[in-house]
Amino acid sequence: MKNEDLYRQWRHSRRQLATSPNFCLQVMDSVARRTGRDAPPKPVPIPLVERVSVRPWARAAAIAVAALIGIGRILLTLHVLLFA
Amino acid sequence: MTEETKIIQRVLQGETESFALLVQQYQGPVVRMVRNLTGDAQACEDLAQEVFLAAFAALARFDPARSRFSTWLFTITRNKCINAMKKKRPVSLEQPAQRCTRHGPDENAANNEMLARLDRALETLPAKQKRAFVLAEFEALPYEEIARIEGTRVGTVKSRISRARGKLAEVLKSYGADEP
Repeated sequence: MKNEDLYRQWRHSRRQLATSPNFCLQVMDSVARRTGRDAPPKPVPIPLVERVSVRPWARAAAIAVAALIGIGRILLTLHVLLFA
Repeated sequence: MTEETKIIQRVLQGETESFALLVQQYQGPVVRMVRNLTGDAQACEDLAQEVFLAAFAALARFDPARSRFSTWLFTITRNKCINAMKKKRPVSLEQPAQRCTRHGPDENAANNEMLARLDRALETLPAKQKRAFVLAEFEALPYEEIARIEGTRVGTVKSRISRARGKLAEVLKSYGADEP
């Protein structure tokens, strides 16, 4: 075999390389893990009671609403007793 | 705007799964380049994965006005290979199976020995010559692109490739491959 043929054969063998069939999947898995890790953490939903309790104006509003509901119920009861 | 640029824009806008299109397109050249540069047939896919992850992480910095995506990706591959080779000694390539089948067993053995010598000669080339040679011969990249990847002048690339070819030609000659 001639030098040139040998060289060509060698070059051909070095150019041939099959990647594993799941190579792309593995890369995308790593990308997904990285994306998940680097993404800003999702805010954890805070319960309504906690959200109200940390704000003074919200606490005052909640008390006012509760007081109005209580007064309304008293007035409704009196109305029922007196005029039913 | 090229198709690649459109894909990159989609990835940057949050459509991460579009990155798979780039991986599919370049997995062959990147894995092959890693194997030929590091000489490590076992770990080449792991390193190639690192290349794609690094490319994904730096995708926002890719500027299509400055270079082609392939040049940018091959530059990352080159840098990863250099770092990997600094960390550990290269492992010899596995013998490609059944390299020659058209000849008698004696000739096959002789040819395989010759091919193994070429493999060894490639591994012993100076790193810069080897990189330029691998990119030109196995990846068939134009000199201009190799120069951009290597961050050097075209003339220097040509000179490195020429010297590498000369050394490999000496190996071929010394073996007397032309002898019947």
